[in-house]
Amino acid sequence: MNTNFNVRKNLAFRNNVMPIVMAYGALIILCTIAQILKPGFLELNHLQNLIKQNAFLGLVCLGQMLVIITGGTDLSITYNITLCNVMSSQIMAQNNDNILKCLVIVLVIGIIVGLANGLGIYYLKIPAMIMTLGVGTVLQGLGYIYTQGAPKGSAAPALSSFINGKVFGLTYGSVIIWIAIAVIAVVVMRYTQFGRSVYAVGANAEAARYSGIDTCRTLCLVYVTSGVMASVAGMLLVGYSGTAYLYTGNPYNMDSIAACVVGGTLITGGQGNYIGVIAGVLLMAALNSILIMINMPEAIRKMVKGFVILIMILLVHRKKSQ
Amino acid sequence: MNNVAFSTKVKRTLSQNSATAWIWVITVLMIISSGIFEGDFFRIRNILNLTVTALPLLLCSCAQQLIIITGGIDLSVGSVLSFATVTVAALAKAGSGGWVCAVIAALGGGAVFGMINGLIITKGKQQPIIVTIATSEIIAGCALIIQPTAGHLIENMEFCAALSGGSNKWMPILIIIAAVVGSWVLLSKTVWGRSVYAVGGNEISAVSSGINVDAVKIIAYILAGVFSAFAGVVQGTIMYSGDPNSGNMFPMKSITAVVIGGTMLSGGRGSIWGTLAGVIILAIINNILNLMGISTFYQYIVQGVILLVALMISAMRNRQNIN
Amino acid sequence: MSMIVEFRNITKEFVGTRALDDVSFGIEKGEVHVLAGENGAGKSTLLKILLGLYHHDSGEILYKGEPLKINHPNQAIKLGIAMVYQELTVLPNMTVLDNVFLSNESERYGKLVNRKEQLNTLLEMEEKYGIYVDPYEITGSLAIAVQQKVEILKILSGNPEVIILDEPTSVLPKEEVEVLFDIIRNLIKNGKTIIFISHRMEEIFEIGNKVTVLKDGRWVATKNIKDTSVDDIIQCMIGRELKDIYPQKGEIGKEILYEVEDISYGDKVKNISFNVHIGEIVGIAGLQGHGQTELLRVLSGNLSATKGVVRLKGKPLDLKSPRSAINNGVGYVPENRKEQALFPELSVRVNMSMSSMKMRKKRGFLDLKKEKEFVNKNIKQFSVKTSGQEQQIVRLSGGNQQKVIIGKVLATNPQVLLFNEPTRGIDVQTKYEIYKLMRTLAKQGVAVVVYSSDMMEVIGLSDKVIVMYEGEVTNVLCGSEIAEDEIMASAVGAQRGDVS
Repeated sequence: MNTNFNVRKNLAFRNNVMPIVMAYGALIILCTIAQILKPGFLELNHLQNLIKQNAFLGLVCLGQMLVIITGGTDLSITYNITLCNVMSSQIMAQNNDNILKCLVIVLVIGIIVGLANGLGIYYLKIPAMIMTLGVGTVLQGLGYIYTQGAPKGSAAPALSSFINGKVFGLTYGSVIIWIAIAVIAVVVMRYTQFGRSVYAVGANAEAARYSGIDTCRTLCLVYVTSGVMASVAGMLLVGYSGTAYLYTGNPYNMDSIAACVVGGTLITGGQGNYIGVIAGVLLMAALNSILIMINMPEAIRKMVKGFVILIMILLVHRKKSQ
Repeated sequence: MNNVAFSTKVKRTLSQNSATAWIWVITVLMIISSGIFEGDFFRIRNILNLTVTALPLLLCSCAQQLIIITGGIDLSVGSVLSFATVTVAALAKAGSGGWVCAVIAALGGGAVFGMINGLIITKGKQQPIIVTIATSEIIAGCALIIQPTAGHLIENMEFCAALSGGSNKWMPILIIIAAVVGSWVLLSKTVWGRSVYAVGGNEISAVSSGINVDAVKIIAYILAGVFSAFAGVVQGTIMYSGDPNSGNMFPMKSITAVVIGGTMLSGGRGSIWGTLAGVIILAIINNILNLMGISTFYQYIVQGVILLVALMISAMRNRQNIN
Repeated sequence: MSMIVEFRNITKEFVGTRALDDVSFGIEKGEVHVLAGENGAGKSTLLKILLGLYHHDSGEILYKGEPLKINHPNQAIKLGIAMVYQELTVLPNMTVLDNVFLSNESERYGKLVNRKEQLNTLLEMEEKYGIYVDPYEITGSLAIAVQQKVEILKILSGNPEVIILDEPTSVLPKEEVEVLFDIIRNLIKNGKTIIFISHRMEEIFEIGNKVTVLKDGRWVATKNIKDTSVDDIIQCMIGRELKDIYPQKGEIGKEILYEVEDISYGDKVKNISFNVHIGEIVGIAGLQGHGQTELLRVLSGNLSATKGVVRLKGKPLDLKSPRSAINNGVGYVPENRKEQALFPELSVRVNMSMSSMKMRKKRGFLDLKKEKEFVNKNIKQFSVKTSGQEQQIVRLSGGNQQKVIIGKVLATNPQVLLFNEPTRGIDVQTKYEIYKLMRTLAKQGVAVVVYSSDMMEVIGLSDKVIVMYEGEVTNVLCGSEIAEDEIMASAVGAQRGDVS
């Protein structure tokens, strides 16, 4: 038990670390390239802005990561965000007193969406993608009906200034929220029974059941987390842009999957780590930023996203052979 | 054994295809009640309208059905459709025969995209769901490059009129019949079709029976690409223009139609006739909502709810079958 | 009277074990040749070599007088050797007709299936062999007995000369067995040769012409059925020495610790009752597939019994889910590590602590320090060979994986410990350690129940042996009553002293 060197490559730890190291490595390379192409990229202000914009994706990716670890994918995120986005702006209506009410409503929506997804997937054995697709479409409709096609209202000033302003002169409100969520995420995954159960259900759901884990409760908590992250992000986004749009949520399905996959979350389930996902988010953000800087149209950016996902899964995520 | 009584044959066919039979019962009931509640429903003009609007969905659903029977799913059908509309818009020049190149390019593109899907899924050993999500983005990007916004008119007006029922009002129905019968022949009458059911039913048994599972799947994805592209060609002629976002709702809608029609997502079974019924049901619901003047916003909710309900029913049937 | 298949000095080794050792015998054309022997005797290995799935290390096989050189089952099928596996390969969603002709590889994909022609061929076959199945039924909706017929028809469509049937009657209700035998007689009439794997004495004597007994990879005897008896065959199957070392058996207390009363599960498990005293290890014996796994799954909360009650120290147990079973003090080590007990990519530490996480919490969070200590202690105690706690569990050998799993189960402090095939795929050294552990636990007052298809293992371990056959208890043997011939006879449905 004392040959530590050549056996180290088999550590479960190492399996999780490698993709993360790769993701951060790629991030550094990308940032260097960006700095060369357009000097000023690595300026603190610019970086902070980048992170501020992408904090919302970071939140959403926590939920998506949990879902992917359990072997599914959450496609209800886009319309969840949109719905909460348009509802929040109308509920807040530029009035600080409404912030709390709005938050509560948004949380309830997130929980209901999550429960619907989780229970449907567990009891009806519907594949996660399809279930969340269906729920997402219902949310899409609700968003349209609520706004009748024309989103109204705008952010409460306190929220706007918090999100967009520097807290303690250090960094933006959205970044602070992301950091807080990130810390909670890492702690929960590593130090709680729930975190373990998520990995267990993803690695081998049957063995998890035999080992005494409550698979239903784990799945429901996972989807509720994803639902709440998305709905809260929807509300915060009102603070960010000042108002709401019916297309707010659109990129988030693809972007969250891409960021998670790039960050080392195995699409087949059972493995993944939020630290890696953070790298994934930053990587996709940097990539997007570079593409915009060199004037690539939305079409090319879409294609790049797709290619990134394909390359990552081909490199890393082979289907388990039967 | 040869002399199985006709009545037994009928009884057996009914019980084996009970899901499809039930769906058709519901479809017929819906048609009748639509006629009763909405006076305009049975007007020829309305029926033809309905047929034309249902056509692209039907073609997409044929594509989706092939893939679902193999046990997979294809979320790129919408993007291929969009790609086809803009390709036709870009290439279909005026004059007789001007549409030939455009259609070949569109269908060819669909086939190529399908082959790429198939190759990555089989040789790359990946799950269809994530592969088709990724390729969907890439293909959508291609469509946007060809035509960044909606509204590029197709030059060859005669072609549009011909295909979408402008000049020959029976054309859409003919296309529907051709597509459904074509799919039916492919699935039930060819060696490949039989292999598709085998692969979807139990891949291991299929392998040990000597079936080349990879080849069967790749062919399925290629065919799905062609069907989806054809759906796009038709959609383009209906709109008389190309639109890079026209396909966005189609993955969801095609899955809904297939599931309503009784095909199980787990693969290995399903009939094109059920899918046809599913498409008709969705088209009728759409049509009724339009006739009633209900805003299109509600249609999203209706779509989503229908999918969820169909999935629930499918799951309950699945449990019944296992017991 | 010519030999269609002849095995000469066939030897096959897998890592560490000799599955077949110098096996030689012949099968004559046109006979029903029964291959008998208990699980692990080498029957399936031998036949897999015949089918081209494995390659023998030495010796040769003659097929129709010529040496057989094949690498792939498709070659075997082309030569005329085919097998009906226990797990049917017919596809449930397809019609009988489609299933029978599924594997005609010569067809091109675009070709239209000529169902009319196939129908005629099928009906001819049905007449010829007396196997009647409706061609248009959906296979999955048919009874298992009928599905088996479809499987046979599928094989017959390839015109085989030698047909191997692997325990075909294990899935059949009694009435259907006779129907199957009629089919076999028809096949023989049509010139086929049948190799029939079975351990059911009644059947061997009803349908067989000759029987070959294998034991521990060696050929024991080939006899004419007319010239032998049930006792004779059982004698051939037994007479082994205890290879492995077993710890000394213990003292059994008077108090009944664990009671299983009248447990039933559908028709797989019928009215099983037994009890376990303090200090006692109870072994369940019998050949695979006679309800033992289902029984253990019921006892561990994974399946719900249709009848009966289980008591621990007199108190009935709530077994509605694995979680409630674990909370009630029942621990279960399942038979299929890979599918039911391991989290392959996760570490040894996470695997071992999975069932007992709530016992090592500090203010709501997992106490990782305690956990690492717990795992270290267990690794030392069970001598788990691993490069460290963080090692991915897939990298460990089977024996060490099993130790981690046992550690996981023991961490919940069970008072009843159920083992299903505990030493499958495990090296001798680890086996002994597991046996010692079982004995220690029994001494400490844990009720230990073990099922193993390895009869010798059950004999070596148990203070009491329950023999199961077809879901029922056919014999209960205590202490000195435990003997190989008694167990074997009960395991194959024979009464002691049966002459055919």
